[in-house]
Amino acid sequence: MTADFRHAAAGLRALENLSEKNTVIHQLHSFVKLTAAVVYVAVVISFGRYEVSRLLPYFFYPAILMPISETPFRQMFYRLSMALPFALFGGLANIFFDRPPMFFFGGIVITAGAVSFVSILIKTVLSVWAVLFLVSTTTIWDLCGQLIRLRVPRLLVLQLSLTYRYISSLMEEACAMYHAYILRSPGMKKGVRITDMGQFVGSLLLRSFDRAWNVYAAMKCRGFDGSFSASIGDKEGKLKFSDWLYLFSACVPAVLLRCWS
Amino acid sequence: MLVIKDLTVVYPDGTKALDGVDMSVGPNERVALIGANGAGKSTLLSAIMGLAPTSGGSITMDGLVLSKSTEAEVRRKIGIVFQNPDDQLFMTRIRDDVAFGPRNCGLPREEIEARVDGALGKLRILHLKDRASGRLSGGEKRLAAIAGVLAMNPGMLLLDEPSSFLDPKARRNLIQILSSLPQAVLIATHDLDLASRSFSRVVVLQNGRVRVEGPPDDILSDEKKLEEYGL
Ligand SMILES: Nc1ncnc2c1ncn2[C@@H]1O[C@H](COP(=O)(O)OP(=O)(O)O)[C@@H](O)[C@H]1O
Ligand SMILES: [Mg+2]
Repeated sequence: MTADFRHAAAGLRALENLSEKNTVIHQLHSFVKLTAAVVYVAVVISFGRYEVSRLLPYFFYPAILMPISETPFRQMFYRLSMALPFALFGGLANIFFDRPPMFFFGGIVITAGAVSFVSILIKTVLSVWAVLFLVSTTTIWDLCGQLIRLRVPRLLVLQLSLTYRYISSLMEEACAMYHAYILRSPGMKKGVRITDMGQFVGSLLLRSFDRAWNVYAAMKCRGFDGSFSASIGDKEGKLKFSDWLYLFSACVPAVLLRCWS
Repeated sequence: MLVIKDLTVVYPDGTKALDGVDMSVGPNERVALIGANGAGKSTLLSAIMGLAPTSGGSITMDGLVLSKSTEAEVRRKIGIVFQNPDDQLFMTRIRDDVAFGPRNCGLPREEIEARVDGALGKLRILHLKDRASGRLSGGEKRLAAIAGVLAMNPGMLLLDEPSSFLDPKARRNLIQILSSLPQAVLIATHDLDLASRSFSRVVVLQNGRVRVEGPPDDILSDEKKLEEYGL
């Protein structure tokens, strides 16, 4: 009965745990993976709102890359489905406000709004996939290292990585507390009684604050000086041939497909 | 050599967690700090790392007096393994986590690699090197957390309740590994069996004070006294 809650809490970790695999894709330098993802997303979202068919070739990327990186399709679909409601809301408005017919399909009028609705859906799925794929094949720390290299301010990167760590511990605490709560509340199927909510959230914040403090203390005890200067970044070395190969074979077709109509 | 003199710690809410503690740990000495829950064991370990609100007394490591300006240096000499390994393992992959300390010390890459392999090897968990920390068992997490601290080559190791969350086999393994370490070791525990096995001296804390100290055989054999100390 607490399965879906546990799912959500374990989600972040599960995705991150995929990055422990050791496939060809995982071994690539995080710089090329980050760059390829940025190029891919930029190209995908740059298409016009009615260009559905030109977006379709971009599905080759997940189709080819996911088997190579041994990313479980099911897990990826599950994560993707969490992003879909946002796209649906954004896209539905188009159906109502963009009424002129665009073409006929088997006697049914397809309006411009319906076409742009589909293109918004596809763009969302593709770009969310690209981000999820990046996170599941590269650790957050390697990504932070890349951000520092790309001259993103260190303070921002530090904030990002600690927030990331804090959110997973917050979710774990929430999960543990929720179990303790539900086990002592017979008759409750799901959720926390509204009258208990204040206490629940209050002690959740206290507990996760404690944990965040412990994590930070442990980091300081291992010589962390708050700058992240030496702790991460610059540890992956130079780009190898395979890195260049991936960079070109991922970016060049993506850009060509965009320019060539 | 760690020397603690008349140490007092009062938490902001007014709890006097330590009240005039005097003790020392010699070079390569192995000392077990025992006491009931709330006796002040964890507080004493954090105070040694400069993480507790000390309001009196002094802590000296190898002649260096702990203060705001020396805490970074003291932390390079002493490593601490917290009670909950989840607080300690925060990099995704074990190899990155173990490398965290050496990287902070600014060591060159080859040296970092060597430190990681060395520490994992000492704890016999080289096979976990590429695993994600979120997926290890309690015992494996504990060993990985210890490896992360050993990789910094501290002269002294503090461990808070190292045998908690461990099944009997993992616990035996841990005892063996702890006995094989060359460093000075100070552990906080209420696991009396662990204390008697691989430690040369036991210090009993009660209500923030040192009640008695001596060889484990003398102290742990007197059940009446132990009862009195809340153990
Ligand atoms: N952060 C804190 N704030 C206030 N009181 C604390 C804090 N941490 C510990 N204490 C109190 O200090 C005393 C000693 O705690 P602790 O050192 O954790 O004991 P032990 O590790 O021996 O179980 C206890 O009474 C505990 O409630
Ligand atoms: Mg304790």
